Amino acid sequence: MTPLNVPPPPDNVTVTVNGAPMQLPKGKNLLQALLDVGHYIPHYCYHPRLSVAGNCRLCLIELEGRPKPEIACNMVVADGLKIRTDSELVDSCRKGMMEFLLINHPLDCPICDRGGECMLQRYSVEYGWGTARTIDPRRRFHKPQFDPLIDIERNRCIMCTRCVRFCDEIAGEHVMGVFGHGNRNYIGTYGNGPVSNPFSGNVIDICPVGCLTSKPFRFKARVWELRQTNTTTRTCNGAVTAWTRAGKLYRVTPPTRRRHGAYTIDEDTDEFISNEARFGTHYANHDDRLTTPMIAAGDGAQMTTSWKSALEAAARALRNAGRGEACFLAGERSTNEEFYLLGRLARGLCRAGHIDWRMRFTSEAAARAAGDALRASDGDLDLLARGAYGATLMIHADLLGTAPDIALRIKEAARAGKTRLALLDARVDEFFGRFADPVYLEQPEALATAVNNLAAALEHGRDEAHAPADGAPLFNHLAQHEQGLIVLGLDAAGGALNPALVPAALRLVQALGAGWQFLAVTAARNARGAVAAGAQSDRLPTGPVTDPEALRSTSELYGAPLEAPEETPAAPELLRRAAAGQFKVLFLHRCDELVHHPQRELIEQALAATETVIAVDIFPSWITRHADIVLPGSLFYENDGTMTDIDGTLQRMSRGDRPRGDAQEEWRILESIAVLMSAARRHKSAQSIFGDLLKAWNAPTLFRLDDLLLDPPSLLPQTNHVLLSRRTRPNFKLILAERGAQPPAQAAPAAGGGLRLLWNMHSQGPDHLGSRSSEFDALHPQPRLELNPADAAALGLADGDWVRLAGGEVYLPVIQLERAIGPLPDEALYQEEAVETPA
Amino acid sequence: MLVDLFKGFAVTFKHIFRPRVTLEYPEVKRPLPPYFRGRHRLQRYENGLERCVGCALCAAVCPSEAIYLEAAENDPANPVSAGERYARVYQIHQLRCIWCGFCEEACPEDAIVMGPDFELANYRRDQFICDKQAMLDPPDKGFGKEPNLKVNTAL
Amino acid sequence: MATAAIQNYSPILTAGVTGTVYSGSVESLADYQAKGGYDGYKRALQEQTPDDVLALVKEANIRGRGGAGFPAGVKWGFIPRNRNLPHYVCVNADESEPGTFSNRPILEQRPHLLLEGAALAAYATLAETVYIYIRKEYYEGVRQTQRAIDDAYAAGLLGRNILGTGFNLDIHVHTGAGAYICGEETALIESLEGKRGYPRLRPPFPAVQGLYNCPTVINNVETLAIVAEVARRGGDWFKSLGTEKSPGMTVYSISGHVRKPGNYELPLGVTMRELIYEHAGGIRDGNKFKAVFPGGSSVPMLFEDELDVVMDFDGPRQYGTFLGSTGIIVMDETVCLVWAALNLMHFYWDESCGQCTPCREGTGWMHKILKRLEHGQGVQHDVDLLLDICKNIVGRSICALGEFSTGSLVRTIPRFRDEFQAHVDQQGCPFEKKYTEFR
Repeated sequence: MTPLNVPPPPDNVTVTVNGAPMQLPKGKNLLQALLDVGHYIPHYCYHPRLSVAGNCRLCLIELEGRPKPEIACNMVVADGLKIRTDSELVDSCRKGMMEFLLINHPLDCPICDRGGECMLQRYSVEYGWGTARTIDPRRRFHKPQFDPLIDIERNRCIMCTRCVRFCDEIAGEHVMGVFGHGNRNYIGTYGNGPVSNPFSGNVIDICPVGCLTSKPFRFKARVWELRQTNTTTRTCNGAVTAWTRAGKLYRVTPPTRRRHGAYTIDEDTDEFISNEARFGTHYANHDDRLTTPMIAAGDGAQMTTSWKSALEAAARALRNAGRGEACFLAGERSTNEEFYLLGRLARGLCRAGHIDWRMRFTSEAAARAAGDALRASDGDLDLLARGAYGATLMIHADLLGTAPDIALRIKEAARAGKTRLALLDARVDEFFGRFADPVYLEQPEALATAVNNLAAALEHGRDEAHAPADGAPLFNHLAQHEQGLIVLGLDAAGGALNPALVPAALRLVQALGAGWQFLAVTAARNARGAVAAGAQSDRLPTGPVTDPEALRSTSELYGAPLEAPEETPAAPELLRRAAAGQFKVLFLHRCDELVHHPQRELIEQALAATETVIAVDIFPSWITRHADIVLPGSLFYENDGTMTDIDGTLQRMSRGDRPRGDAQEEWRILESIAVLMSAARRHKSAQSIFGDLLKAWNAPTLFRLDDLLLDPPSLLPQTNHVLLSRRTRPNFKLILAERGAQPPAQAAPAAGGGLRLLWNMHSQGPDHLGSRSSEFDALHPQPRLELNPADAAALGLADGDWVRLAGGEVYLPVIQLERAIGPLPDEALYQEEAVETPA
Repeated sequence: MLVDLFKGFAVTFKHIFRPRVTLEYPEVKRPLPPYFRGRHRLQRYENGLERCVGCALCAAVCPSEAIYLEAAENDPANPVSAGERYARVYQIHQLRCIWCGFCEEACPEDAIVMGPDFELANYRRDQFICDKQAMLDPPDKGFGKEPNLKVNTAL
Repeated sequence: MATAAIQNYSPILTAGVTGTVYSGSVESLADYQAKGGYDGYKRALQEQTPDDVLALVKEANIRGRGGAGFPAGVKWGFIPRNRNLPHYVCVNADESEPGTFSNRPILEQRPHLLLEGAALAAYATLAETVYIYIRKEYYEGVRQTQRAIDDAYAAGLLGRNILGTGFNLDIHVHTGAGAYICGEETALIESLEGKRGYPRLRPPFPAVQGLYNCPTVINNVETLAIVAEVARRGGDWFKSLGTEKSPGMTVYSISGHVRKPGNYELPLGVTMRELIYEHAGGIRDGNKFKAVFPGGSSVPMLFEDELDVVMDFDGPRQYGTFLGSTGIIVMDETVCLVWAALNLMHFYWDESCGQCTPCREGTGWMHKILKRLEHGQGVQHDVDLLLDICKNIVGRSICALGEFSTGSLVRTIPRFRDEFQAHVDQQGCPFEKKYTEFR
């Protein structure tokens, strides 16, 4: 790897702690340094990813020779520092502070949902008095309701202001604040509105006491009753912990760590998960689960059957498929193992079967371009956080809408000055806009040209003379830095990714030199894994299909002879061929993205035209109802496997509960079919399949090898979250409806089209899985259309008017043009996630 | 030998005139010590609200995992218990229970106590799963004032 | 015992100030210049370098009159001697300490004295902007200061390229909303920046990262007035007044149960007994003296046998109290010290910003306890508990407000324990209420 990956060695100095010398990294926050070496100092307000507030006063320590104690969180490690953390003074400070914090704290631990993981309880036991000296009445506040997902109990608040700082600094939204003064201080939101950012659930975790608790989890269970499974979701990047009891999912949190002898949510967790991972995963509890295998019983009916007969039917159908007559479509949320097994089924066990995953793209060219971009993607968000990239350019990314977790990490790096952020996009939102400079707005179809111009200019030379006429600041921004990152969003145009953008971006990276890296971001959860595990038509686990060496090594792994295919159609083409009746078997593995696919007619035709449709899924949909064989799969905490984050980090999905009913883990289903098709190699566990993948990925360019361990803790600290975008949607034309406060009863098309739709596939929208998460309903943003004020004036539209989009019976209010999230180029529309009821 | 015989009769005679220890159960019941650990009872406040807030500490401490409960949020207009939370489902499996009384000790609200009722025979096993209604004291048998939770800030 | 220097002293900072702004006259720019006003400023700009002015202030050993007594020259010396970042001078005219009103005559009647001092401070610390943070309640102070600023701009003493020296200076008046905490220098900065008046953590100190994260000097009104006088009359004149370690004069604000409360400008070194009995005319109604706050309500009290303390920066320290803001509050024998403490604790509880735990919770708790004591609901351990709470607050809060809140208790309880205990034992206040019932 490049030398970028080597972190600088820490510059240690000697600090005397309680008389014993200790080596600590110089200049680091003293409290954090002590925590890192396992010397625990109690603290409430300090959080490693937030600014230092120093208001809880619990981390007071004694500096030798000074009469007054000092707070450790506001000190840095310096040579020769002599501190005591065990003296009488420190002890009395902690006791005193705990007493102060408790004099007004209500004695409602039996009611409080934080009970059992409350830092106030823990510190009371460890550092408190044990008795109360107060006889005065306790302060009690009114209890407001301001957020559908966050419950606030101000009486329990200790005013650590972590939530306020989180909203200000991390989520980038000044929404929470401190009100009142003195001991009538309280936490609230401005205007009593909801905490409306896509990361709001994290304030629940970082609250050290029971002030902010989760409404969906409210009084559902006690934390000590729940089983914790460290896993990863099928929808979001990064690790999570699923808290379950008797197969039911109670809550999803950032990964828990072992502390104080028990696995708890680390109150200092440096990982923030998005609301989608936290609340959107509650589809797990939906009753509408597929629990038994089903086969078609004629006349469109389905009947339940045994696994044996279902699997045998599937294997029989696949065996009977002729050369090139079996088509496997692998959902983008499958695990690496599932991708690998599907590839083996398609290529090794069926005769020249087809396989691809790129269903989210509506055109063949876009799908191929996305595949190219993902293969070239080598950017590393950890490096970004470490400050290795001097500059970052985001091209057409719309990350907050499609991958808020990635957005959060990039923004944090920009905010901390670890990288200088520039934007080249059709639309800029406030989230990045405040931290980015320069910002370039272009019409979406002109972006590729703009990038190409930049690349061409850079190929000529890096000094200012070569800068393109209208892009000098951006040119200089890029040319000044030897090391940087280009982030390209593959989803911002929905399924219609401009195929020219990918080669242009790759050319730009090339022109910028070896220090620059490239990161293609998509909301397709395991896109990187699909490319790497060989679920893409032109890729084998060991290399491109055209490479004879890759064919040979893959055939060795598969235990089956392989031949180079004559052509490698991607998913859009495969769907077209399926609709034309060219396949005998269509194997749909967890194809969530097809359920809301814009080309529904095409898919319906494909289902009708194919002799045998095999669908693996967990929820019924119109697709499973059309399928001939339905095989019920498992949830993210019922399945073993690995997922690849968008920056290449591997996350482990682990089985902590058995699947509901007769459902099975997907790898087991696929392996069973392979066995019935007399595969030579048999796998008895997901780990064994992963072993094959490890062999295949001999070249560690895609993955960091130290992450490839199966020991969960080593995977947990990785924090890459990408949210899955919801649907792909064809371009709509704008048709004006009659004005009115409510959607008009009759569609009344009016003139005024000709605008292009740039839309944000907002992560917080309903999809095949998310729509079944009732807790998540509260998060759906108000669907809206944003217009450039000039266009709005030209069309005679004002705030609050309703318009109908042609191409779909969707009514949208035009929302607050003046407060549109960011600038828009002329003649562009911005639609925020139109709501449709899923089929 | 006769001497021994009379000794034996003497003992018998002596006991004829002593008070009887055997009780005519079930007509007559033995007085129980106040700390007797019989069937669980769930107590109330004097205004009839349940004391139990469904904190599940009894379930956590129970060595034989005989207690199952599910909590829920009170309707403020029509509360079940004195806090925000109440036990929607509260079951004790009396075949599992070992009558150790830990639940009673763990309870922070003095809600669950073990009463004097020791007659636990049933005809079917499922009848040993004792639910909340079977354990609750009658509404007029509550005691103590519920905690005052009135807002005392101007905000 | 009073020295001749003290007896013959005629006011300098408050020279010509009689009565209030409504009855007395306000010193105009012409009046001020007739007395030699702005001479020091002009000389500094035209003949001296900023370093010279800094050296002068250092040499004169002007200690800050705001409360801490930190030498102004040393404070200015912490400001980097470059202009990489803009520098600021903030004038703390928030004067929110109960019992303190010594800045008021300067603000209202001699605003040019303050302006000259602030301008000199700006010149010495390479600043080009001065903010005067005045509490809104000083309505006349704000008005007169603003008028003086306008006059000075008109006279070419402020603005661009002053007196042709190339020195630029802007002075702005900012009115605070009357929060006690905004008299704390970092809270004042936050308030100036438009945020909640929360004191900042130190380090970094304002001299490194102050207003808008730039180097900032914050001085009290009186300190800067003295700077103006020193620039005109020289450091040796200044050091001839006062004591060796506390040179110069200060304005003592005497209030409470004395016959003649008011501002008394005297050289440092006068004793408390002289202040009360000679200058302020002694205790009212022939009552006996009971206790006195030597420096605003935030510092521990002094008692009868300690009245001979020399009222300079170091004198009160031997009794564990401080000169503070020189707001002297005298209490006679009719005062119930529990009631007095409750009154002050209500103030501190109300004015605590609530940022850090000990001050937020401690003041509220002590307020509740004192209220119970005064209203006859005290319990046996309350008096000890109060002392223990004080111990848990002192030195553990972010700013000094926490410590200030204990001023009325830490020395008082050991001394007047009987009085506190009587409140518990008699279940009520043993004093005849001569004052208005308070909360």
